[in-house]
Amino acid sequence: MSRPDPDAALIARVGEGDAGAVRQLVALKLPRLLALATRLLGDRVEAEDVAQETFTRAWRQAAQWRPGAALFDTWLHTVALNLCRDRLRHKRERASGTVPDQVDPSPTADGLLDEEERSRAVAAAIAALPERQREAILLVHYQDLGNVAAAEVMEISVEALESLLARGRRTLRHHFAQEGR
Amino acid sequence: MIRPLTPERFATLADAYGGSIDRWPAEVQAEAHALATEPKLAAILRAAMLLDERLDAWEVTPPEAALYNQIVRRAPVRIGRRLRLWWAGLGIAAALAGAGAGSFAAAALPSDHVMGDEGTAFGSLAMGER
Repeated sequence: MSRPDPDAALIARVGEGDAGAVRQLVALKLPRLLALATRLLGDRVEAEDVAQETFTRAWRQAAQWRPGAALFDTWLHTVALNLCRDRLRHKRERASGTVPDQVDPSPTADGLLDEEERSRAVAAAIAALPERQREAILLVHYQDLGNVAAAEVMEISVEALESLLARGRRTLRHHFAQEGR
Repeated sequence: MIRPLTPERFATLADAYGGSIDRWPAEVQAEAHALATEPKLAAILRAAMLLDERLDAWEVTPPEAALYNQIVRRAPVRIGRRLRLWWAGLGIAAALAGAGAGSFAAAALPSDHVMGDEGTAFGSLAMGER
């Protein structure tokens, strides 16, 4: 299915070495890519490394990018997701059985969660999801990718994506209901 | 053949994609908006929206200028009338003699090197640097 790529003209200019286009592309994509990597990895420094590596690959790709079935934004997300998966896999291999640090979402003394604590509580709940459910929710809810794009990034069918989303969201609803927050 | 959106499918979609129909599959959005006026289905959306709002509490700090600058500096760019492409961080030599597109070679440059020669001004790509 051919879809118009809103980034096609910009990528063409990046591929031609247009400095303004480079700045524009980074301004446009960096916040979202960094957000995805930060949420997946839970480590800002690692997330910045992933963002940098994603753009390094984008510079190589831009000169030969041909608009087609895949959107450039989808391609960027695929690269970032795979880089994150690699890092998480290496972490698991190094950890070999040790339990990773968990964010403590304990409320303040008066029982109310301030904004930062609420943010950490959500991060912890999502981190506890199975990997594929977590990825699906991050791509659709936080990255605002459409179902087709998110499924492409994850290399699964749209039906499989919906199943992951539904299960993940059900788990989260149950989790927050248990917490009573 | 496009099947009409049933209330059951509506609920399934809310379960998966949440309470914002803009996140639903593109092909069902128009119909979903129309169905959302029905009280039962509107209630389903509201319930899904509660979780969405909870999820929205997870905020991430935007990138700092330093990261932006670092990424931008490593991009290959055209400088001046003579095409010069340099990958500052990759140690690839960049030099181009002669006019016209076509052949060029890369030359190694230290990452902080600013190329300015033969009257070809190099403007920094980085934010806040002028």
